[in-house]
Amino acid sequence: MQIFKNKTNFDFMGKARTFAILSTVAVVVSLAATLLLKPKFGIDFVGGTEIQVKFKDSQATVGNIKSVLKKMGFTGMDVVSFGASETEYLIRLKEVSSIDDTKRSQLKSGFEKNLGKTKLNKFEFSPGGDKLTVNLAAELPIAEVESAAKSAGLDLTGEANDEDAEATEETARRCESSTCTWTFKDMFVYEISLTGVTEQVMSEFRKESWGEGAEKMRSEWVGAKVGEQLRNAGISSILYALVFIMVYIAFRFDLRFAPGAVIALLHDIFITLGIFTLLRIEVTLATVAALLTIVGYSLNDTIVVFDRIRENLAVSREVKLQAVVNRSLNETLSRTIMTSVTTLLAVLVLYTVGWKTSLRDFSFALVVGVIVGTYSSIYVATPAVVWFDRFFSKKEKA
Amino acid sequence: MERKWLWRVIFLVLLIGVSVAASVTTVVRAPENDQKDNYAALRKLFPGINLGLDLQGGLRLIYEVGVDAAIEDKRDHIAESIVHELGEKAKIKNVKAVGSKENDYEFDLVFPDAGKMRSDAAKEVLKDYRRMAVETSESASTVHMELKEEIIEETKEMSIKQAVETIGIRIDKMGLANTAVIPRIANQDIIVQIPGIDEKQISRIKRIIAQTARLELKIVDDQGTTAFFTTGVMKEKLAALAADKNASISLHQEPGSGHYYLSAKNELRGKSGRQILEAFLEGVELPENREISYQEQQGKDGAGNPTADVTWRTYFTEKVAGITGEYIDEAAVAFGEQGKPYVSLRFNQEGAGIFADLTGENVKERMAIILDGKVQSAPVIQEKISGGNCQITLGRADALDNLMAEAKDLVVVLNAGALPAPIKPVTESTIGPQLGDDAIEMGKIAFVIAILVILVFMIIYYKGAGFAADLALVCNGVFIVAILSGAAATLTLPGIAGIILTMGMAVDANVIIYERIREELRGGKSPRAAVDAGFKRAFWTIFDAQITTFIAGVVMFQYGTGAIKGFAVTLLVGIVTSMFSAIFVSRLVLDFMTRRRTDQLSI
Repeated sequence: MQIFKNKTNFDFMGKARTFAILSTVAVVVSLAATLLLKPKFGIDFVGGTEIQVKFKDSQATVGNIKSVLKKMGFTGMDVVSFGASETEYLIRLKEVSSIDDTKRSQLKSGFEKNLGKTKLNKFEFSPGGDKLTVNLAAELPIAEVESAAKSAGLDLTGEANDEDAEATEETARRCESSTCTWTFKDMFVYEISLTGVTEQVMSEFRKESWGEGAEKMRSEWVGAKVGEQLRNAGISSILYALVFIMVYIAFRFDLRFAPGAVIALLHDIFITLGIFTLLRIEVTLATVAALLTIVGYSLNDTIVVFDRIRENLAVSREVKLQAVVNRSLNETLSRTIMTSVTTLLAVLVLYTVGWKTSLRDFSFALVVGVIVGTYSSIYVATPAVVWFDRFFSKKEKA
Repeated sequence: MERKWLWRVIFLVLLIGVSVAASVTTVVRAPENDQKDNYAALRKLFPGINLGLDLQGGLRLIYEVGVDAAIEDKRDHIAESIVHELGEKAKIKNVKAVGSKENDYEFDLVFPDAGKMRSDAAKEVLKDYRRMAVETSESASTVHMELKEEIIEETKEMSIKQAVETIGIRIDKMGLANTAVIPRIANQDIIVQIPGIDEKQISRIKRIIAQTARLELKIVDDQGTTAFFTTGVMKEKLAALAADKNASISLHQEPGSGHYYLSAKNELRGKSGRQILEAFLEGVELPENREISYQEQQGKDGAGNPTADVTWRTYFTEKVAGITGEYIDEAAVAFGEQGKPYVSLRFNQEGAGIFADLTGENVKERMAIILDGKVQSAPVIQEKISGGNCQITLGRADALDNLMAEAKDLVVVLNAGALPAPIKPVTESTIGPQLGDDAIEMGKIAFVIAILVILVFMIIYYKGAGFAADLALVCNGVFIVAILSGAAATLTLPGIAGIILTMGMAVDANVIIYERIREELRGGKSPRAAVDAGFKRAFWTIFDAQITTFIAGVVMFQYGTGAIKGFAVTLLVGIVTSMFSAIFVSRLVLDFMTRRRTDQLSI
């Protein structure tokens, strides 16, 4: 079987202008969406809590779950049916701790009052909200700090075991040598374990009639600072990949091919991000991995075309680059389509079968990337090479 | 050609044989029968694929290391030794070192007067320390100093590495298997991965990992106690206390020796005994190298049975620890009277020497055993202890079960040593085992379906040559599993996706070759010549095309953590094996198909 029995002779370059406009519009829309609407970042990039819960009762509906969460004081939440069974849900919370700013200052003043005379230097919750660090001007017994925290309304006890209600004390380092006259620092640091968001949420669910025996399948929380680090690392990793690939192309091919490849790659990345933003699909670490794969894959197609252009340029007596390019595109057409089809088949299977797992968004990004990548190697990368060539040769003549 | 072809077949068969053997440890469970030993031997060669946390469930934590505290410690230490050297070498006494409150790397040396500060002897001492700390400016009689950048960096790195080691030992001692503790120096954090744990254990594990665990043994100054309690401000305070009928603090004498101590009960919903005592003692000047240490005690009724009351009492101890937890060789749970558990310690050789001197010099004195700032017990030193053994009885008389748990946890942290800097979790994720099973199931289904779809598609489209590509694809699958198994790689859910993706991309090389062959056939070449030309001309195209994805994979491997890294690994392995299978395996089949000078090629 063959898609194209004989040599094809589509006039790709003739229609390139139309597609260039189409691509420009798509990129502009995507960029606008990404910049104005902002992508919906997953918890790994902005911090937050994610809990996957399996309920036993069919009464456990999105509405019921949300009302429990609202009652607990959460504001930014997202509850979706997810996972292998009907009553399994993925809950995303903006908060990594149930302690927001207002509550924090309330707790702080309450705690301060309970301390009596002792001065409070620092009152800080860990990103996970399961640890409170206080810094006191004088050394207090742990039990005292604990009781001050408890009567301020902090939830010190873990749901199941009282073991959690324990504060570890780290006394300030003191001078330990007899000759020492080291006088600085008279601060005392206490760390108090608190019940984290996940445990709180789970125990609230279990109190409901429909929540009995609710099972935590998975939970994750990421502090905001880590999220920012990961986001920056993600962006720089894509930039690194682009740079390395460009260096390789410039070295293996010809410098004039490089701009076309770069434009095609940026085109693919922006459009994929734009689609994610418009469809409100979460952008996570996995999305970055998918984007990196798309970068590699889309270039794969582009390079096969470039390779043929190079080969044809060497043997052909044709003067016009445009004609050579068009012929090369035609010669590689069935190959370009064939690989895209097989890769697309694999990714589509992954998307369909993996629908219920965390791979859903990842494989969706790959589906989009394969399609956009194939299109861009024909209609973006190659025409760009011709236009750049024309632009530069004009300049030389002038 | 025939002979060369045969060699290539033999090579391929051998390769597949080795690959299948390598995959056994991954695909087949350890048998119970007489094949057990063979399986174990195979396992040594090919360890088998490890399942990532997302596939087998577990706990993953990222801890940020408080490197600031470690740098501060380092600064204190350096400043201290400069002060010491100034006293010893330059004979300049009473220099004070004051650490900056703004940051953790600057400090001031306050000299008694400007002349001493400018003296050559002082300059000489400071010069000796230039490698670690340099003078930035001076004013009046104060020299401003700051730690050298290299020292700061070195301290950061050391504290992270030490924390990793300590956490690693603690986890090991808890008996958790296949854990990973990975430092990330640049991020100043540590990743801890513990596969397949019970949800109920999580809070205990987290507590044990993060406990600072600073053990100090300090001599109780019983002789000094009497002097302290009966002179100066203390005498007046105690007189006032005796007059106050409602006082919450009471003065006691140790039974037998008669040494004084104070105690106070925790107030109900109010101040604790320790706070009451501290408030009482506030402003009382202590002699040099002395401090008050506190112990929490369970109240007892007349019959000696524990009551709900908690009392705190004082010890008049030396400020400097005689020995610290650094020197512990081994700690273990032991049982005392009425089966009450306690912790028995053995110091290492160096520690045993220090401990022998310490106990030898202080026979009949008491020694306070202080853990993270709280006196656990204060036994009397009966005689010089030269074996380096010591025991810690746990503070509160509690239910035996609780004591046992406390003793066990204490043993874990003491054996592992103290953390060089405090750590706090910044990310935590737990994955239940059920979820992992579902994911593996899904991975298997997706893999089989994807492969079948591609196999069928290739046969329909390329017929006979499609069969060659299919054979290459199946070999590719076997090679990927074999390499992952041999390298003991970790398979994650995205890793499975990576394998499936490379299955789709693997045929790419075949497609490039076949399309080329078709072109050559159209150009009028014989099948044999077309195959030769197709492979020859397609190789570099394939190479160039795959290398870009490979570069992306390498970057991903560098950047990614956990699950994503798993994807990068399978992607990289898949690219290499698919190139090999497409070029070597399918060439073999096509050569076989064109071995006679036919003018037909099914493509």
